[in-house]
Amino acid sequence: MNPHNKKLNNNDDITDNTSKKQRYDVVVIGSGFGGAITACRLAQAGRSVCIIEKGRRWNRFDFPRGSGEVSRSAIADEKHPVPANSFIEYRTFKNMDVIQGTGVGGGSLHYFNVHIQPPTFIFDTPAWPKNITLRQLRPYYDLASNMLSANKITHTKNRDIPRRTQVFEDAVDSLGLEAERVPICVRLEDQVTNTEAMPGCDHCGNCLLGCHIHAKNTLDLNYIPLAEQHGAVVLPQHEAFNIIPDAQGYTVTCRDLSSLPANDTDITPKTFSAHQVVVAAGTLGTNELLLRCKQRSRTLPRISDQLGQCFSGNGDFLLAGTHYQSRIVEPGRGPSITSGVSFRKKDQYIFIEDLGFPDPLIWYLNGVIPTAGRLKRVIQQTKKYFGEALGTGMNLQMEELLEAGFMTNFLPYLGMGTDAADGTLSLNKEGGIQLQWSIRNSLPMFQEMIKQMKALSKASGGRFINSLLWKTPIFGIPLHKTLTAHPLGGCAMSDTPLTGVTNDCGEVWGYKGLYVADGALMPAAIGVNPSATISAVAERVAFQMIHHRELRANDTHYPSNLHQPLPSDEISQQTTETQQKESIS
Amino acid sequence: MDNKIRHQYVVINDTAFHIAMSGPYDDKKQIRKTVLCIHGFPEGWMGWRPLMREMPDVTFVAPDLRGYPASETPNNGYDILTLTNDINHLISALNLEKPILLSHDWGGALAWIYAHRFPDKISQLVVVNCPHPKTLVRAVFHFEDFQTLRIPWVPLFQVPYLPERLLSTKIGRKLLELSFTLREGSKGHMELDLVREIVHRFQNRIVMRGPVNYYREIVRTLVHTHRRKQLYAIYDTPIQVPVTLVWGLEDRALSAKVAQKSSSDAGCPVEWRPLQGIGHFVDLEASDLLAKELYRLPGLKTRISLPKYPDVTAA
Repeated sequence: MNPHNKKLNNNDDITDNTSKKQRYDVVVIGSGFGGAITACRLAQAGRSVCIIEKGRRWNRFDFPRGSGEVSRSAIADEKHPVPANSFIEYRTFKNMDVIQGTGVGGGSLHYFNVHIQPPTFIFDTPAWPKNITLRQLRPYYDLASNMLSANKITHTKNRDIPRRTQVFEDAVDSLGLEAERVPICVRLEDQVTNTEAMPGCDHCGNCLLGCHIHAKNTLDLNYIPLAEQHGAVVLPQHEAFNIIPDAQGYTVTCRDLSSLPANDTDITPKTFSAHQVVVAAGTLGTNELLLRCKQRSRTLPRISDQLGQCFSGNGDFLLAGTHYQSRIVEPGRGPSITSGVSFRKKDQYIFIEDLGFPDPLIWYLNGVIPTAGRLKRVIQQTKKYFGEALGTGMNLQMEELLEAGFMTNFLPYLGMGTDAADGTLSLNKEGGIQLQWSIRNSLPMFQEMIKQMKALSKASGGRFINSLLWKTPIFGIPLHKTLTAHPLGGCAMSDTPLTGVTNDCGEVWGYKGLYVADGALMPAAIGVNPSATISAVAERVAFQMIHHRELRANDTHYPSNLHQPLPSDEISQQTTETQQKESIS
Repeated sequence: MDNKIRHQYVVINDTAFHIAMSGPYDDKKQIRKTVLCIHGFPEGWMGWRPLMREMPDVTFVAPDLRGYPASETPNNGYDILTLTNDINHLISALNLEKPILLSHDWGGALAWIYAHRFPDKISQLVVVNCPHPKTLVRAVFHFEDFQTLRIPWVPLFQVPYLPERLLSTKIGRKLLELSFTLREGSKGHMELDLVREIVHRFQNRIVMRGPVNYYREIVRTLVHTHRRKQLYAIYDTPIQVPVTLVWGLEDRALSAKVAQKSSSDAGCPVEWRPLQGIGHFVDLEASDLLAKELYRLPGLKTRISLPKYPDVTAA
């Protein structure tokens, strides 16, 4: 029983020469934190929803584990643009590299599970619209955190807390501060229900490469199935490329990437029409799509000129860390982020977390970074091999060569902070997205962050290793390039159309029924991992779309997180919803 | 096990003491004994951290002594009576019910004297690599087993101002670091990063002054007839709690031969527990062996063996 079939009206059967038109109440572009959440809530409210997703569906056994597999199939960049086999997009721009997720579940497939609320004052800075405060957002945060079951890491009966967490917390301790465990959306304990046994996190440390035991609560395990239960249609491997306003709302055209024709001219676009469109294609995707609609195809020319402005990398600073001489860290074990510490100086907020690397990266780095005595051991082994090959049998001890490398004693950090949010996204000649971002206004924040990381290393007895992108390791030539996994902004929420692209509910100024619901909405850096904030804002966008008001803590229309198909009957739906609400609270 | 270390400040006689605590902690019902750890020169509470991690089921209380970083650094009060009074006030301030007193190096000397002075406050004395102070002083004067030559820094520390000024420079800190690492019993067991972490705390003269003052005040006490008599009067009361002396045999600063004579000065039998191949800093070098020694004690004997579960593999 798909509600959208029921609601199809006669107009839908209109077919033009090339494409078939399908009508939905809402078309959601993207299935990441913005898209999946809005789609789920709208479907629960009885709307017919279609989710268009560029990437494919990922089964838990499809995730790559070996280093060859990773380079072949996990990461898409300019050279391998086909996203069919990859769920991590690596985009290189002049001063900043950006990592994004594609696939059903979007960024949640590779994210580091952190579901953390930023400090209150972040929302009080002038960039944010007046209606958005932490107090307003708290019910939405709680709703999302309940669905994604975020909790802090503790030792369970099977697993101690990871060594990395301990080392990081000791390091923070030595500074005289206290580290706080961050809430992570991971199932830590084994769970056995009547129907299935779900193993808890096995501390493999490969969160970046997708979770092969589904202990990580990615969106394709909660929001998206719930949306589908309520009749939402997910179209993987469809890339939206235009939004055209029409009499009934909007028409979204997209191409089917699963059956790409031999030459580009043959593409027959699929079109969907909808009353409302939610653009949640990831910060770069959303900006690219809307910029194309505004500047190339000119279908949405009235979008505010602020489109593409206020881009922020969330002050991400990756690849730096502390190297210890003998303390064992094992960065590859345990959920990838577990603990963090904050530094605040007036409006400058810096959050430093411990970071885990996935195994293939650790193997790679261990192989590449020379350590004392490696050459000697290799020569020794070769001698031994030849000596014994000629005489008595071979005795090549592989373990001696595969000994613990540099990374065993390396504690990587993830720094985030309130950067200046002054990047600009625009289209280049080919119609692709480009980023103009200069470190200049954010430099004091980054310098302070590096200072704190250095202090952390020094006080805990280690040696600070800076990011390769920031400074050359030999002569210390400043490169000042950063790598961000948290691209934000471009379609900033604002109080007036002059200062941003959408209103505080995510509706694009000047286009009724066109919404943005992802990281692109953030008008400034958040200073902590943004997925929780994006989820909360998306929950808010959806709730405002349905009820046109704010969600309260004990709301009669509190959205349900339970996986139960609701009866189609409108009245009984209301009652079950309230019952479910009671059963939750 | 999730063994988070808690930090606390306790103010005693207008001096703030920093205290690190780990393990199960409950004011109301203490099933097992608390272990109060007194560190040596030039360590701090951190020296006990490997042991805390080794024994997550035991409650540890490890203060930074008077004059050490993180605690306050007053100008005076480094004589042995004030220092032992500090321990006494700490025990009452923290409401510790007859703790086991675990001590190392300088802390050991304080603990010996403490056990003479307040025998009813503790249940057990465990000293690691520190002979009874009376035995040690006698050995120094009588040149027993070259003990006089083994601690050449004591006369140097009598110079005012300079020792702490020099030791808190970059080179001085490197020297301190070497004083740990060169005295390792067997190579590669000490966590070098922890040593650097400990040494890193001595950033200025003021925090180095307190630790050096310990040496100045003890010499002053021994030279000053009245104060010496006062100290020796304390030794006349024999120690009335069970005493264990754990000794890393590779210690070249303090002679094991001298230490074995401690029992006559303590006035009670001293259980001698030698550790083969371990140097002076037993707490940093062999926390596992030290943990084994502690688990032998009556108050800690009921060790809850942590069951090892097989790893959960993907279903």
